[in-house]
Amino acid sequence: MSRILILLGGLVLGGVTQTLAADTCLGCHEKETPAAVAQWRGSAHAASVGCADCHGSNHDKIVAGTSRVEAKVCGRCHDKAYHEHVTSRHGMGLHSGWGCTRAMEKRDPRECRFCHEEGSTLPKSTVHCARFLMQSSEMGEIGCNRCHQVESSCAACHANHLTSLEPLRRSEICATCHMGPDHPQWEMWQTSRHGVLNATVGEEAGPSCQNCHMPKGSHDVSFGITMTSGMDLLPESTRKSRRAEMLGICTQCHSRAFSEREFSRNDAVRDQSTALVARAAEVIRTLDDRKLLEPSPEQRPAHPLGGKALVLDNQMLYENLSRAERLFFKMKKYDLAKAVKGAYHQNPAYTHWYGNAELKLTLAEIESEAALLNRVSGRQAGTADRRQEDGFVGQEQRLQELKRRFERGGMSAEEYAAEKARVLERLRNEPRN
Amino acid sequence: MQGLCYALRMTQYRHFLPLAILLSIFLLLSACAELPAPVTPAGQSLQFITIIDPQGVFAGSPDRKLIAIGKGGLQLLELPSGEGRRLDSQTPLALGWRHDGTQLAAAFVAEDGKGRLVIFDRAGKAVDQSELPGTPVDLAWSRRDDLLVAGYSLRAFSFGGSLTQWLVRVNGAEREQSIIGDTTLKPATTKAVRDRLSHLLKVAFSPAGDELVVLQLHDPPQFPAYLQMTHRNWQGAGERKLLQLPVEAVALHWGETEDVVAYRPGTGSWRVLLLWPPSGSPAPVTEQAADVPETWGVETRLQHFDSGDYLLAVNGRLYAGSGMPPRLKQTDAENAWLLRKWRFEGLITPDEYREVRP
Repeated sequence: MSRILILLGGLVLGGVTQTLAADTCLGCHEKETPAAVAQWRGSAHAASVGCADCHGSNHDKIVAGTSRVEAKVCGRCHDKAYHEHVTSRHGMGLHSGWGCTRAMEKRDPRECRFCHEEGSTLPKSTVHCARFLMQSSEMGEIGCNRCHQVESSCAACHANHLTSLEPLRRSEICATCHMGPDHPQWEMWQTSRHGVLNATVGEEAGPSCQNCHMPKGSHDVSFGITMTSGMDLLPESTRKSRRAEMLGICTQCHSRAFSEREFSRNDAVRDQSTALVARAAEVIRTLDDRKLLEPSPEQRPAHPLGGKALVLDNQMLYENLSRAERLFFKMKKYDLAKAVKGAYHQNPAYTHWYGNAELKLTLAEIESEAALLNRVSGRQAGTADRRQEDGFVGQEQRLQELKRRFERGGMSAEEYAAEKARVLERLRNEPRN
Repeated sequence: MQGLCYALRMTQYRHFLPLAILLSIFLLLSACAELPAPVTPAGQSLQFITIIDPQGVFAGSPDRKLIAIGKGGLQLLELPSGEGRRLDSQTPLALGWRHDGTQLAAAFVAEDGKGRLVIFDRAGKAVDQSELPGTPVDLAWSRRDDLLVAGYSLRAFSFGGSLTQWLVRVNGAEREQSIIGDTTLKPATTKAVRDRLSHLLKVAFSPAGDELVVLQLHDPPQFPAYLQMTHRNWQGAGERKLLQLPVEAVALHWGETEDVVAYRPGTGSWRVLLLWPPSGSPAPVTEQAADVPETWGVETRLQHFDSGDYLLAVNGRLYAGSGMPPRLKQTDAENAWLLRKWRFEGLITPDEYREVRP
């Protein structure tokens, strides 16, 4: 019996040595990280929320970086904000950005937590990001996760130990992530009438990001948004309710007729711009049908999710591309966002010169590239014609092209059979023995 | 006669006619194997030529004046005198005459497993010799003078075997080698099959020589080994899986038409395979039972000449005969080669092929 007591006593003591009481933190951290402690002392948390309440009490895990303060920790007290957050687009930041462990040999094992519950191999999400999977661990951490961690970390926007809401009500807080060539919302807002008035007169004349997208302190950043982050339209019923939400914001300053007319124009620009991208995609798919992309998808390293197939959707990579695809990436990822988001943010230059003009210039370049490739390969784009000297090779290429086009759903079974019949008829009329 | 009646009933498939005649001949031979001069159903007599090894190879020249035989080395017999010459001391595993009759190809394997391909001229002089990647199984000349040699290489290790089946294509200075089967064998399987792989890994070439049916050996973990019959067109990539068979010696013949293959597993009955059945068939490959007795053994061999004459080896005896339908020259046309390639690659359907072929 005494042996058992000694053993139990040893276990308890062992646990104590591994676990630090919360009130012991300040003794060291006032010397080690004095600014962090000062921020905490000046925050609303100082009155009732101690270090261990958020960080836990296992110092070893904290030092190892495996005891991160997740959003759900904040959600214990900030229940409403947490639930608004997790159901909004920010709450999908990792879902849309994180990959799985297929590239684990290149990754920091601590990253597992982002996709898996502790101790579980089941992923939190089935959505993967091919671009993330192609990056080094270091690039993924800085270039991807610093923004996409917003799903699980309130500190992505809120400073770690400050609780003041003042900086969080300014547009600058959004700028770290919502800027750059792929979605320059910060820049296009800043130079729009809203942004200029905000800077020169104040919030009462020019709304901030938060005024329109997080009204009344809501954490639902999907408020009023009618498209996915990949610029695909949401279901119509969702779009209607979201549009009504945003009209409610606009009509605080503008007439309903004005607001609706502007949205109508914005929607038209969106549709016109996406049509340009769709046209470019079709040109590239046709080049792929004809095996004219260099390197072809078969010649490249396999796409992490799409394998050896041509990928032009939101999982499109910017590695190992042909020139036409590189141009298309720019159109889809950069120019389209500038034209469409520029329109919704009421920024003329982004809508027109950075967006629309670049879309059209790049489409012209892609079509010119396609025409050149077709000419070099002895074809005329969009027709079944071939030069006489192509002979059987030309006919075979045409059949291959038709097969690929049919298999990707680019033509009906009837159209496919009719086109093949044309090729075979030519063969029948030109027997060679 | 059952075999003939069976085949004639299938008149919607005109390609079965030569097969029907062939089946009937075999039936008669199996019943009259000891008779010196069997008679075909059409009343034509078969001419006995010589005794051969039951599993020995032979090849008659297109003009039927020379026959090469693998028997105690490589022998070349002149007809009708029957005078013979020995061209090589080693017995070949595969033989074939070029379609213009000017050259004879013979494939050998040495005891150390090294393969050898020798080309002889009509006078019996070796004019070219090259190495093969392993043990040859069969060879054929295409109508475009491609020399095709199929075979295998087995590397045995304590943990199993690495079996590779290959196809070598030679045309003048052009030579290419492709893999037509590649698998890992379990140790027990390696031990069980290593001495009879030549009887398992059969290959049959199409009459034009652009397509082949190959038996591959597969040995998946946790499951018994099996033979996988596959179909290839060497002008294109890939293979079509046809059917699976138990691991036992198989007879395999490509019919004298383009799309018919006959096979018989060692313990089963003869079956006929339509490689490209008409549209609407329930399966991509249609298999029909051939009503042929068990006595048509797996070692039976046939060589069909363009004229309709043929050489037949059965029960260790080689006969010459005539009266089979002559081969259709159209299958050799460039269009036909191209159309078969397109059909194999799925660029056109079998129905479109039938509609357009010359």
